[in-house]
Amino acid sequence: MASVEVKNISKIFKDKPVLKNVSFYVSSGELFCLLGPPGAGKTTLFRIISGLEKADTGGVFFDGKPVTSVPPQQRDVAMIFEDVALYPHLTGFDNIAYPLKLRRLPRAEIKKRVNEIACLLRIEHLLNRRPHTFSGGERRRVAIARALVRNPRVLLLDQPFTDLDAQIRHEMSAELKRLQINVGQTMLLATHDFEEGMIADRMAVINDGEIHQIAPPKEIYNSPITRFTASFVGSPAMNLFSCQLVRTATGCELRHPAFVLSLPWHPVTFPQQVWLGIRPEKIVLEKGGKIKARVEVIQILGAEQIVDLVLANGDRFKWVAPLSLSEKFRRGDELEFDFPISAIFLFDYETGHNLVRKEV
Amino acid sequence: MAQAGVLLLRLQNVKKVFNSFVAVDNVTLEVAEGEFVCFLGPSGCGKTTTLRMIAGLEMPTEGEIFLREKRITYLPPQQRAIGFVFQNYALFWHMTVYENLVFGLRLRRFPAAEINKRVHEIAERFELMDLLKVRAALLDLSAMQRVAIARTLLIDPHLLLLDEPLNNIRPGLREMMRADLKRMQQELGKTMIYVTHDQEEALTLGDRIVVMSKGKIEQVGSPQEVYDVPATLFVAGFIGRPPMNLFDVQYEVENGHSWLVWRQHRWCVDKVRNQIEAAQPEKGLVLGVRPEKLKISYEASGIPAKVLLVQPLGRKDVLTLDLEGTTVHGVIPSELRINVGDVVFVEFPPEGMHVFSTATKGAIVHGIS
Repeated sequence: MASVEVKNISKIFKDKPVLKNVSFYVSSGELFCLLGPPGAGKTTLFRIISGLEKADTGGVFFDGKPVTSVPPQQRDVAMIFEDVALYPHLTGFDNIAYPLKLRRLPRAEIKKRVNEIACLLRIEHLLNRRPHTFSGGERRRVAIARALVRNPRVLLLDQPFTDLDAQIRHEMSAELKRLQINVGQTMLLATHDFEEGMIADRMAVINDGEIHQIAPPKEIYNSPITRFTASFVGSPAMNLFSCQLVRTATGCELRHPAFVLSLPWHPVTFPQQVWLGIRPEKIVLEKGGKIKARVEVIQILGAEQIVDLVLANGDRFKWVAPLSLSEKFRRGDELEFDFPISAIFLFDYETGHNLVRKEV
Repeated sequence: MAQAGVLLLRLQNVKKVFNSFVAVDNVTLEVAEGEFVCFLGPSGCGKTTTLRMIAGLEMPTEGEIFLREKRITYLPPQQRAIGFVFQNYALFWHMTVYENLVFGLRLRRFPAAEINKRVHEIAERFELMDLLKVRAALLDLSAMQRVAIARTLLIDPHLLLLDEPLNNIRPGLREMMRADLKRMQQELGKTMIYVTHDQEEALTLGDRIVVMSKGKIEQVGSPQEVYDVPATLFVAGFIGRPPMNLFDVQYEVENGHSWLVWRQHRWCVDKVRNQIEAAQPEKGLVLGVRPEKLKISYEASGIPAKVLLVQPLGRKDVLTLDLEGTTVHGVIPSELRINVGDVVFVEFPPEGMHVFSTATKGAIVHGIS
């Protein structure tokens, strides 16, 4: 188990910068998530950490020691990709034992370690079977077992569960957490699915090769520091409205073509145009509320419903409402809402930064 | 324009056997004009085979299919007036959006003026006007989906079939495209059948959901119905994320009162006694409770449980609990701060308790109060 430090890494492919001065520190035994859309630079970063790719500038350190000149096979990094490749002609046992056989460990030792790891991942029943009989989730478990059996210093998981069903994906990310608790393995998980990443101790949100925020997942959800982070973490995504910002004696006013909201505070800086952000579950249905909208689509999701609403000027937003709501409404109905002041975020229209509040 | 409520499609005892494998087993189903129906089930449940039989890409081994009361069971696909949107969209990648759209109309020898009119109408409708000259291969996923659907609608089908078109699209974008599709369907009033293994997709899209398992229909109902009153153990365990918690329980009568008994815990079921006794409870019962219905708190009432794992999902947290050796899932609002390793107390609310028969796998009663 090792700590991993990535320091000022930049990488340019054919004039296109894919990583821009990326730095972070992952402690030994931490589960760290790299969250970002496809093309954000996650895979390139993993390839640099594992030594398959060289950074243009900056360095990678394991336990404080630079590994930049260490070839990949000596870095002792295990990597799991979206496309899990098991040896089809080998049983589950032989697949997991493979890295140990390469190292010529004694047979008894191999057996002991494979059985231990199989027990930990709850795949004892797969040891005598061949991969074509495994389900998607089982293939992942065997691949993770094969990676862990040689006690790597770092385990990199690059979108390992993307093609699995939502429920299995959910179970697999719980599995990672369990592994971390039981083994203390340092793990870096790259994903574009924020739900998958929420299990991590800390999360780095990355877009266009740039890190936007590093924090525990709940903090990222509750206090996103950029508009990108706010809209990327959460499902349905945070609603964003382009508004004019006007200073008033008691704070500020947000002017949107379809509504005007007064806040008892104002941002420290005063851009003319801002993004007003509010999470769909924070919106409150209230007679006489300032925001009037028409119901466009109602999607029922078990205990909740996701309602698509459209404002007078055509802007759309989403509302997550409990199904137990006493008010009944249908497609085409006009409803009135409040955006609770405590749930409102303001982002700079140009830079996307969350605007710091100043109480009046 | 489709007339709501009027019968459009009817499947009657449809069966499909591949070699000796029964892929679809005695499926009977009616779809009304303007409906959005989702076929939902795990891979291999027969949903895609059923769709392919409706499209004419497979022939049933037994049974009949009717479209607007006309028998189409063995009609070739192109004579059915049914549109099919494939999983990978199957656009002509080397052609422009315009060429993709006109292809079907030209094939059917529509006059040029008519073709132009129709294409422009639909391009406007699907926000494709600016993209008409773009090659299909260069489109983003959302535009590809719109072209695939627009192209199929141009030939004015009675029915549109979609085979997991949102698979492999990243979360976030998928929810957006899903809402777009639902809106499109509502505005067009076009009947659609949508195949998916993703319950969230089926719940949010469908007016009605057809839940399938092992070639058979388990339940047909609105999203609300399949969620709130699952007809079988399969539906209860398949729908909901995390799925319903299930416990094997015994039925006991003591001093004139009826009880469901799980280990040393018991719940009074006097009010639903008749239903339970009619269902041969001696053969075993299963008690089901949805994770979000469990009342979980630090207040000492109910069964103590140890918190094994907290998975935050944004507005809510999913808890994995050790309830006397049984793993149980709970869902709580994320404002409630519950930590791993803590002992919490779990209460089963009577209105949220579902009872199933172990023997028939069917539901007996929903709510015991």
